[in-house]
Parts: sequence; structure tokens; C-alpha cells
Amino acid sequence: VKLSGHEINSQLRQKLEMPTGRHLYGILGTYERLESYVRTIFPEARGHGGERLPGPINLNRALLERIPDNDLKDLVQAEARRPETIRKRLTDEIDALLAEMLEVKSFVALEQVELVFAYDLELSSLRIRAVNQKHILLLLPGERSGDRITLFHEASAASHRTLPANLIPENHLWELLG
Amino acid sequence: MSQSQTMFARRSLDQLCSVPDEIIDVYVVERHIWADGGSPEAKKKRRAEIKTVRDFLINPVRALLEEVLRQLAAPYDPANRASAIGQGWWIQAEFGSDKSHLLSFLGALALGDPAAWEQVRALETAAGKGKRDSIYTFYENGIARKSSGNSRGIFVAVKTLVGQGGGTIGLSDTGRKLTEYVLDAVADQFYAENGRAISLYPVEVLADRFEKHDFERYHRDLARFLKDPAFFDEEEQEDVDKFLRDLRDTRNPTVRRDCGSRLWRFYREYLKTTPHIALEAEDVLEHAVRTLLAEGYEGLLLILDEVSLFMKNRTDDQRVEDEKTLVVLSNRLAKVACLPVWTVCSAQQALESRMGVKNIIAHDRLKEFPLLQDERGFYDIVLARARQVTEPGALAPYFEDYRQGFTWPDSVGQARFTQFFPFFPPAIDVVRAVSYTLTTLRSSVHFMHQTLKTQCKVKSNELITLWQMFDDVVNYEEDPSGTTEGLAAIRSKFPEEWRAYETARRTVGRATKGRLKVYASRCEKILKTLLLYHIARMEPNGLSVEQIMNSVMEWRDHKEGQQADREDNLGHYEVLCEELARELPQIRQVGKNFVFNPVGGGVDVRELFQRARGLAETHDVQQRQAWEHLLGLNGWTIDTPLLKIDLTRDARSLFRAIAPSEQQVIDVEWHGRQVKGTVYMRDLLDVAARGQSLPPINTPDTDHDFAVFISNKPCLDRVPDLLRRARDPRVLFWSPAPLAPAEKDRLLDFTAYRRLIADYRDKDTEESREVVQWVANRLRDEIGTIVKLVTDSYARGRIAATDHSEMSFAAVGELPAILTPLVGQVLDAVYESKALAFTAPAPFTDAEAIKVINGVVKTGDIPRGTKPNQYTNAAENYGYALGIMKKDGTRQLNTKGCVFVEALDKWIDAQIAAGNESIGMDSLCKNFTGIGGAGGKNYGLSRRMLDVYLLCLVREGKLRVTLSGKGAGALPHLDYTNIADVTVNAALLNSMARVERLEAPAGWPVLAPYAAVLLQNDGLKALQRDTEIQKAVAALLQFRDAERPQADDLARRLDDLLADVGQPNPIAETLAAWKQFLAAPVEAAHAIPHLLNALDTAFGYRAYADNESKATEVDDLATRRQTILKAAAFLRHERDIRAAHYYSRLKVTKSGVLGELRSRLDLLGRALGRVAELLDSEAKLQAQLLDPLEDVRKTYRTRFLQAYDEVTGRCEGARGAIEGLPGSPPFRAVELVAGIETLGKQDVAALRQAVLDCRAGLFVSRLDRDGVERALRERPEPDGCPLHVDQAGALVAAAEEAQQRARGSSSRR
Repeated sequence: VKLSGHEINSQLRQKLEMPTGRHLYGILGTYERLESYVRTIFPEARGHGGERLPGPINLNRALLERIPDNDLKDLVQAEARRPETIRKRLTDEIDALLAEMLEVKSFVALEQVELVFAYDLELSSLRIRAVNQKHILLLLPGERSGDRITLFHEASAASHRTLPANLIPENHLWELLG
Repeated sequence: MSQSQTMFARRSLDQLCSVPDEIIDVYVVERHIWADGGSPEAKKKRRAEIKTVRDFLINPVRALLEEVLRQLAAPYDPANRASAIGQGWWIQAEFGSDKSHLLSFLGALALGDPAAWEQVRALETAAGKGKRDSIYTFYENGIARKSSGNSRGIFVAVKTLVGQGGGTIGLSDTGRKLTEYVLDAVADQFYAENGRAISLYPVEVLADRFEKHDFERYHRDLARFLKDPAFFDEEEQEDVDKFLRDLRDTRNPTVRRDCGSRLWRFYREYLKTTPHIALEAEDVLEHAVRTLLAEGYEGLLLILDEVSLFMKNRTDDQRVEDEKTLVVLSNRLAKVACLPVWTVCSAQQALESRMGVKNIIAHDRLKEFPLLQDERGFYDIVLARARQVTEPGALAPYFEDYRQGFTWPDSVGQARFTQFFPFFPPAIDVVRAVSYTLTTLRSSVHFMHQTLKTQCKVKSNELITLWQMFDDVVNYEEDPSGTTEGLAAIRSKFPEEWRAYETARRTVGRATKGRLKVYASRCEKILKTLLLYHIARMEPNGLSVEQIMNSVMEWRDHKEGQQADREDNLGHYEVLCEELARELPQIRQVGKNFVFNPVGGGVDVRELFQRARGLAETHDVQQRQAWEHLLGLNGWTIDTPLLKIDLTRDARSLFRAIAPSEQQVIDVEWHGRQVKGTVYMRDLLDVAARGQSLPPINTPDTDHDFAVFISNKPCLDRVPDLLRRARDPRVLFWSPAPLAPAEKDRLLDFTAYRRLIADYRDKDTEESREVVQWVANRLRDEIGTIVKLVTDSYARGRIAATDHSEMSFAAVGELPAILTPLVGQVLDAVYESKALAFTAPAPFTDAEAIKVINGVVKTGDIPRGTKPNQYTNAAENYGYALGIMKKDGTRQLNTKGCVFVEALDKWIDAQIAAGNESIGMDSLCKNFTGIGGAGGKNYGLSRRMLDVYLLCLVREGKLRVTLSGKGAGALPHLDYTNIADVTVNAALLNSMARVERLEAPAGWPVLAPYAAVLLQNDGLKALQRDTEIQKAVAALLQFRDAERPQADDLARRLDDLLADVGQPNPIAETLAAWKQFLAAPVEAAHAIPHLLNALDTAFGYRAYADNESKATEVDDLATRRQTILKAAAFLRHERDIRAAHYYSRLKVTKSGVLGELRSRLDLLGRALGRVAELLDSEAKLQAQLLDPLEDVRKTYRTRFLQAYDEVTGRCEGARGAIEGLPGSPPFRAVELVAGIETLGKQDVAALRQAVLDCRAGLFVSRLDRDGVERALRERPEPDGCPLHVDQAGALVAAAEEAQQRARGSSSRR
């Protein structure tokens, strides 16, 4: 559904009122729209209690920051030689990051998620973690084309990715209106 | 019995139930099998999540649990393939039905954690399960052993598959295989438990093999390979020692896997060889299981969650691979390889297999197990998860109290009451149905849990019903596990319903009086209940009051002791529901039920109404229009594109036909007779004030007998004045009384309703529909009392006539019913015709009067044997009451003693005597209908009654009525001569113009003797009455008409016959005279003289000339009549007489066989010569002609037929013989000889013809024997048979001669 930023805020607030169930949400848009939304509209979003929602986390940065420098250096060096290892490590780090963040707050918004898709990381931890009053919002550069969600649609075709079907329910996924 | 009177008061819910602080809504197998959310520590120590076990309800899935645990607990014998313990299960159920919890529970138990199993034992004990029935037995008898001592227990690997896969668009190999996910799950779990990697993937196996066997041989090559830029770019190149360190690092499985991948490339690309390591899924997975067994595990329990969603978006190739993996796990490994591997898959949907479902779902593969198929299971799950009743013995006070106040506890019984405690069972159904609209089971549990938690917190001692869960339900929203359905909370998914509910709630909240104000909270609960039922699509026909009472479950005196019993409560809720339906368009009454109606939301109709009513109070014109609307109320249909509705629900005003200032002709029954009159509605107050005149009754022109003037405004004090001016005792006045204050209020309400409808009926909006619907709802209940204010004000009013200043009446029923006794009262005092009392079942009407005329008046009687018809029935029903028939058994018209006929006759006589040759019908009407008639009397006959009496006089020959106008047709008048022949109808009666006296017919005494002869009825001579005479004349005319063609025919036939037999016609003159009489012209109007004249002319009499009858002439006429009759008898033997003539002319030889007939034939000829005698006497005809004829004919027929048989037989024989000769042997010999040239050529054809020519002269008859016999009755020589008996011998001889001649012709040649 294409909605304005404010409409998405409104929808999001309704969803956040739900005390049970799965709580993984997504907002699609161009980089520009997402940036504009995050900068001007998302700060106005409120939780069901009227509280301000925490700002989006830059996932790329958060991931890299979690990994100690030495490890990171090793990973960078080993990236070309140990792809599965890197993928596994990043997947584990994402899961741990989500666990930690959701331990502190019940709502987490994630932006700049390119690493996840660059390494074809499994997204199951997002779904597994976003339950029982723990809410995760993904700000995804992408667009809906038919039944498929194409990510990084502004980039060249070789960089396009698809969002796994069924990961985010239809009514939890909004597209920013131009 | 009230709460205060019970021995034990209800204890609060928190004392009776334990409610978990929170319930896990979403189970994730990765996090809810192992303790602490699947912490590394818990996984390492194989500690199960106790909460997962504790919250699980075993009973609904006991069968599955027993089956799975039995397999897990069974001893493993690798050699016993017949009893393989491995198995697969496909657990299918909808989203939210606790699949993941079930999987987590299974996983937790499979770990063999004694604490978890202890929890199971506690649950089973609490559920009353004995040792053998408890699933704990599987722990004791297998799983415990497998999880202790040297055994490392069952290896539990899990994977939630949704969220896996994605990948790069356009690459076909994106997404991993299910086998890889399985291996990942196993590898991760193994690492978690053991802190080291396990080699499962082929590349890992290769890594092991390289170290063990190939290291020495390929070490240097490997080092070169890893540095070779032909295979790796600069970043990918690495040192072999670093590579080997990583390869040997068992702490990090993925590093080993990466290294293994490089090794694989080394073998394939550098060494140009393929490692002999199994790559197929079956081999790889078997290796994995065997590796685990080798590690000391008892087997592999593989739990895969959300398989169907995972497979839904796989490519065909991927799906085939995935399905193969499932088959390998559940069948190839578990059954064929007899490995202890158990695969549990959960899915929301049935498998849509590319391989064929039967290849995957089967007993020896994945065994299908649907969840939540049993309703009881559902209730047990949700109730168990929401609460535990800790004091089951303390529920009795609840049951007692609630059964006193409500009906449902007794209906369901105490056992079910206890089972559902503290919930109202139907509420769970509704919540469940709503949940299905939103999600499924999960939300039901949530609603119940949240509500109960709240109620416990506030220490409530009331049962929980639907409205208590309302807020949770309407706000609830959840996404299902990966389905793409767009689901939303009730308020967003059902916006129209929600808006309607909000509007209704506001209306209740703003009520300023009545029950809506006093019981606002309860009304809102009713509203909530109906809304949820509506959304749940349950009870589409609405809830009964009893259902609503049970659902809301508040006593009438809920806060004041709860002493009301169920009857009190039922009455209370009935009143509330009805008021709600009346006030809120959102609640509609359907029969005795109430249903939520999702209308409204944009307008406050009550406010609009109050505004309109306020305006109406000061607006006299609106009030008058409303009053006039009520006076004329005859349905009030609103027909808009959005709505079609009758606002008044068939309510009608009794003045609807005449309001506000119209009139109507009505019929009322008076003494069994229908009388007509006009009822007017006028503003009599204004009429009186202006001194206006009122329309007169004018009976002669209108045939009306009364008039009623009804005022559309109260004018009680003006009635005397109006009566004075009417000057007709048959006029009535009716004024209503002024409205009472309460009635005025109702009128104002109605005025406001009219205003609302006028404002909104033509608007094509939802708002207008709401307003109209609201008014309709209000009117549904109020229209009766509103309409009644009209009836009541008129009932309190006054009806008066000239001679009746204050008539008592009952304003009940329709207008004719009210007015009938009053009109009767007035007419009784005025009309002479009150003496006519009709007692027939149906009233005497104008139509019946016409039937009476046709039934008896025009005919003079109802002849015996007449089949009853509408006319005779009417005559029987009303003729006696009218006084024109007497009950003497004759069923004849008899006006003797009828005062109205006599008065009429007398008055006409007087008019004739006064010199009037004829009297107009208008004059008759003026004197005998209405008031002010002849002799100062008010006869009060209707026009048709007058017609009846007049035509009685016509029938009796006393009057002739001249006709004019279209209704008369060609008929100039009606009198005794023609009335019987016409069918009387209204048009004919209306064409009656004038009446004149009629004299008796002249000339009949002269004609009577002749008529008696002709009609052969001596009684005619004695006729005296005009009608009888006329009837006789008519019969005479009919006789002439009937005899005329017969006489012509008789004369013609007699002439022909006598001409045929050669005799003169002896009665030719008589016949000619008879024909002349019958053909003489006779005018019906002057039939008697014309008939007399015809007698004179035809027969030479002087009856007409001398105006007297003579005996000689009468005798002569009788003789002539006899002659005609004898001639007719003579002609009946016409054929035989002709036959006698033909036979008499037959010539026979005296010596022949017919010689004996000769004398008798002569006798026939002589008898015919005496034709006059034969004509005169049929006896002579028979004796002298017909009998001898028959004698002759009999003899002759015998002889003739003998001759016929002989001659025709012989001749046919000869003919056959002749025709057979050309085919005979001699003739063929002749043909042969004739062909021999030397013997001389013969003409064979000529010879054949000569032979056949011999047939000429043979006797031939066109008639066969029967035809000849028939023809002999007519004449002796039949046409077509030229046989003469005397010539028979000659004909036979000729035949023989011809035959001989033919033979001779052929033999001579």
C-alpha cells in the first residue's frame, strides 16, 4: 500500500498497540524518500502510549561497530577466502544485536541494511525476534513490483535483491508515497 | 435467591483462578525448546524450557504426543528394519493453532531433561491421568534411559524456515537446499552442545579425509594451488599453513566449511580428480545421522517449522529437491536404512507436492496429523492457557447465583459451567469467530487471558462475558505467520460497523431521559454484544431477548443486591432492547430478535429530531399539515435509491379516503338492503362561519339516501346551526373533540418526523438513510398511538342529525362500520321502505334487483325443474321480501298485497286519470325514492326497487314502458309481449323513459278456436289473462315458423313421388292453402288480426272479415291439419312405394320360373292406382301395397340370386378356360411347328387373339352378389346387373359355346 509518511506513522502506531503476535514491519521507498521520511516524519511517530519512538539504527554501522577491530580486520582480510564464515558471523551478530536492542526497548527501527543483502544473510532472526511485544521496523530501499518486493531497485539490475516472501505480512509493509 | 441470601457468597475470581502473568503468544522453536530463550548455556546442558512444557495442554494432542514419544522412547535396534523406530510427521493446522508450541514442547521433552518431565508428570497428575495413561510413561520407559548414563540423549535440531531465502534476482541457484538448512541446524546444535564442529557437508568430509589420508601426498600441491593466481586473485590467495590452521579449527564450523570448499576446488580443478565422497542428499543426510550416532546420541529429532510457507515460494527445482529431502529423512533413512531419525514438520497448508502428495504424506513417510479438529480441543486449549481454576469446589455459589438470574447455567448444566468458568461459553465462540476474522486461536487466548487478568486484579466476582472482552477484541490486530492476507483490527477492518457502533454509543450516552439514561451502561453492553455477534457473523437473524440477557449477564438490580430473578431480568432486558431498537437505528428488531444494523455514524438524529420538534411547537401550519396527514394516513412509503420503506407499517386512518376535504360514496346496510350515501370531510367550522351551503342529497338523481358531513376541525358548538341549515333528516354531522395535551404532544412528534423525512427523503446519502431509518424505527412503535389520536378525538366528538341531536356511537372499525347504525337510525325514522326487511345472507343491492327482474319478474314465474342460477336464486332470496312473490309453493310472480306495487299502480292510475297519457320516470323517482313522495309519504325506495315494481306491472300487462337511449337498443318499449324475451340489465333499466297504461289484446276470442286446432290444445280456448293469451299467440307464431319449411318439403316430396309412380296428387290444393297460411306475413305487434286475416286468405274463411269464428271453418281447419299429417305419414314409406311401382312394371313369362309372380305384380299396379285411398289411410297403404310388395320382393330376390349365381359362375369358368388356352401344351406345340419354315410359317399372334376373342358375349355384372341383393329392394332390375331371370339358361349356353369355339380355333391350326 502506498501511503504518505504520516499515514505510515498512523498505521504504525495502530500496529504497535497490538500486544501479541508477530511484529515485523517494513517501509519501502527510494533512498531519497526514506531519508526524507526518517529525517522529517518518522520523528513524529509515536508509540501506543504516545511516547516518541527511538530513531532508526544504521544496521551496517551497528554491525560493524559490534565487531572488535581485530576481528573486523581479520574478517576483512578473510572475506574473499572465507565467505561462509563471514556470512555466519554477520548473521550471528545481527541476531545478537537484535536481542540486545530488544532487551532494552520494545521497538527497533533499522535502516541502512545493505550488508544483510550484500552477504545474502538469512533474515529469519528478524522474524524470530519480532514477537511477543518486540517490534522491528525495517526501512528498506525498494519497491513493490507485482507480488515481488525488489530491493535496491534504484541500483543496476545486478544489485537487485528480493525480499523473501512471507517474511513481512502484507499489512505490515507500506510503501512511501512519492 | 440473592447473593446476600446465599450461604456462601461468591469469592472473587483471583481467589478461584490462577492466571499466568503473561502467555507466550508466539512460540519460536529456536527459542522455546531450550531454557532461557535458547541460551548457549541451556543448549550446551540440554536444559529444556520449563514454561513451554508447563503452558502446554496435552489432552487435545495427546494422540500425536503418544505416537511421537512412543517412537522416541522405543529401543533402537539397527538390525530390526521391521520395527524401525524412525518416523516423520506432517502437522497441519491454521495459523495460531499452537503448532509452534507443540513443536517446542516435543523438542523440550526429547531433550530428556528430568525437570521438564517432572513438569509433565505434574500436569498429567493434575489432569487425573494414571501412570499408564500419562505420557510420562514414555520418559520412564525409554527417554530417561536414552538421556542418561553413557547415552547422550536424543539430538534435537530445529529450524524455522520462513525468512530463509531471498537472493539475487535472475540467478537460478539462489536460495539454499532444504538439506543444507537441515545440515546447518544439526551442525549449529552440535556445536552448541559440544563446542566443536562436526563434519556433515561433503566439503567437511573431504577436509577430514585430506587430513587423514592425503595431507602428505598433496601438501605441496595444495600450497601451490592456494597461491596460484590462475585460481585465486590476490585477495583470495593464502598461505597453506594458515589454511591448515583454519581447516583444523573445530571450534568454527563455517571456517572448516570454507576450507573444505577450497579443498574441493583443489581436487577438482588442480588435481583434476573428483573426490569419492557421496554428494546426494540421502547419502549426506545418512552420514549426518550416523555421525550423530557415532557421537553417542540416540537419534536425531529434526523439527522444521513453517514448511509449507517456506516451500510456497520455491522454484520447481528447489521444491523437488526439498521434497526429496523430506522423503529421505522420513522414509529412506527412517524406514529403509532403519536409522533413529524423527522428522516433525509443521505447516499451515496441505502439501502441494511436485512429486505427488502420496510420495511424501504417507504412514511410512510423513504421517499427516491435523490439529484442532475437535471443538473440545479448542476450548480446552484456550481455557487452560488463559487460567487454572484453583478452587473448583468454590464455584457452586456462582452457579447458584447465576442460575437464579439467568437461564443459561441451567441450560448448559453445572459440569459445563464449571468447565468454562469463569467464562460465558457463547462468548468464547463469538470471540473465536471474531478471532478468525482477525487471526485464529492465538487472539482468542489473548482476549480471554487479558480480560481474566484484569478481572482478577479488580477482584471481580462476576463471570466474564462478551462485553468485558470487547475493548481487547476491537483493538486487537495481528499478522499471521507469513500469510499475505491483509488483516486489521475491527475498527479498521469494519469501519462502517465501528462508526455505527460509535454513533449508537454516543446516542446512548447523550440520552437525557428514559431507560437509555438510567441504564446507559447496560445499553452499551447490549450494543457491544450485538456488534460482536454481527462481526462474528453469528446469529444472523439476531439475538433473542433471552440470549441478550444471558450475554450481558447483569441483573436488573445489578448494583443493588442482584435479587432480580430470571423473569425480572428477562422483562427488564425486553424493555431495554425494545427501547434501544426504537431509539437507535443501529439496533433493529427482526421479529422477536434484535440485530446490529451497521448504519449511521455521521449524524445525530435525535438532535435533529429535537430541533424539528421545537420548531413544530411554534409552527401552526406544520401542525395542521401533520394533522391532515394523519387524517388521510394511508401508508407512508419512502422510496429512495438507498431505501424503500413504509414508515407507518400499514397503519391507516379511517378517514384516509376523504381527508382532508374530499368525499366518498359509501354503502351501508340497512334492513338487509344496501343504501348509498356520500361522506364528506369539510372544514365545517369555516362552512358554518361563512354560512356556506352544503350539497343536498338529491335522491332522485343520485339514488343516495343519506349524507354525512365530517369536520376536519373541532366544531362542536356549530353543529346545531349546521343541522338547521341542512333541512334534511337524513343528513348527519360529525365533529371531533379538541386534542388532549398528551395527544397534542404526539402530534408534535409526528410533525417533527414529517419535517425530518421531508428534509432527508430526497437526499441520496448515507446520512439520509440513517435519518429515515431512525424515523422508521420510532414510528414502528409510535405510529399506533399517533394514529389513535385521530380516532380518539373523533370518538370524543359529536354526531348529530335533525331528529337526533346527540347520537351515540362507537368509533371502532372503518368508516362504514361506524356510520351504518347511525344511518339506519336516521332512515328508520324517515322511510316507509323500512318495512322491507331482507333476510338473505347478502344485502339486497342494485345488482341483485336486476337479477330478481331476470329471475322472476320478466318471466312471471320460475318454472318447475328450472336449474338454479343466479337469477332464480336472487328471486328466491329477495322476491318474497320485496312482496312480489308469495310463499305458496308456486314460485310465481304475485304482487297481490304489495303496498309499493299497489301504491305505484294507484298513483299511475291517478296520473292517467288526470289526463297524462304517460308518466316520466323522473316523476316516478321523485315520488317513490327518497323523501317527499306521493301522498306525502317518504317511500325511500331505491331506483332499482322502483324498477322491479314497475316491471311487475309491465309483466302483468298493465303498463308499457317506452325506452330511449343507447341501453334500449332496437327495442322501442317493454310490455308483456316482449319482456320475457329480453335480458334486463342496468343499461336497459336506465333507458326506461316513460310509463303508459296498456289495454288487453283484442281478437283473441275469435282466434282461439283456430289456435286450439293448430296447436292441438283445447285449453287455449279458455284463456283469459293477457299474459297467457300473449303466450298462446307467441306459441302460434312459433308454430308457423316451425311448420313453414316442413310444409314446403312435404309438398315437394309428395309431388315428386306421385310423379314417379305416375299418379296425380289428390291433396295438391290442400297443401297449397296450408303453405299460403304459413307464409302469410304476421306482425308480432298485431299478431291476432294478422293471423285471422291469414286464415281468411289461405283457407277462404271469414273469421277476420266477420270478426267471429265459425264451427265449419274450425272443422275444416282440423281436416286440413289431419290431411297434412297423413301426407307426412304416407311419405315415410316413400322408398317402398317407388319400389312397388318398379316391381309392378316387371314383365315375366308365364312359363318361366317367375311365372307365379305375374298376378301379384298386377295387384301392385292396381293398388298404386288407388293412391288417394292409400294417402288417406296408412293401414290401407300397408295392407294393399306394402305387404304385397314385400311378398313379391322376397320371391323375386330368391330366384334372381339363383340365376345370378349360376350365370356368373359358368361365365367366369368359360372365361378362365379361354384365357388359359394360349398357355396350353397343344398351343405351344402349334407355336413350335409354326416356327418351322419348311412346314409353312403360321401367324401365332393372330391365332392367340382369335382364341381370346371368344370371350366376347360372356355375361358380365358390375355389381357383386351383396350389391345385387341390396339393389333388389329398390327395383327388380338393378343398375349394373343386366340379368333377366328368364334369360339365365341362354346365357349359360352361350358361355359353353364360347369355350368350345375357342378350343376349336386352336385345334384347327
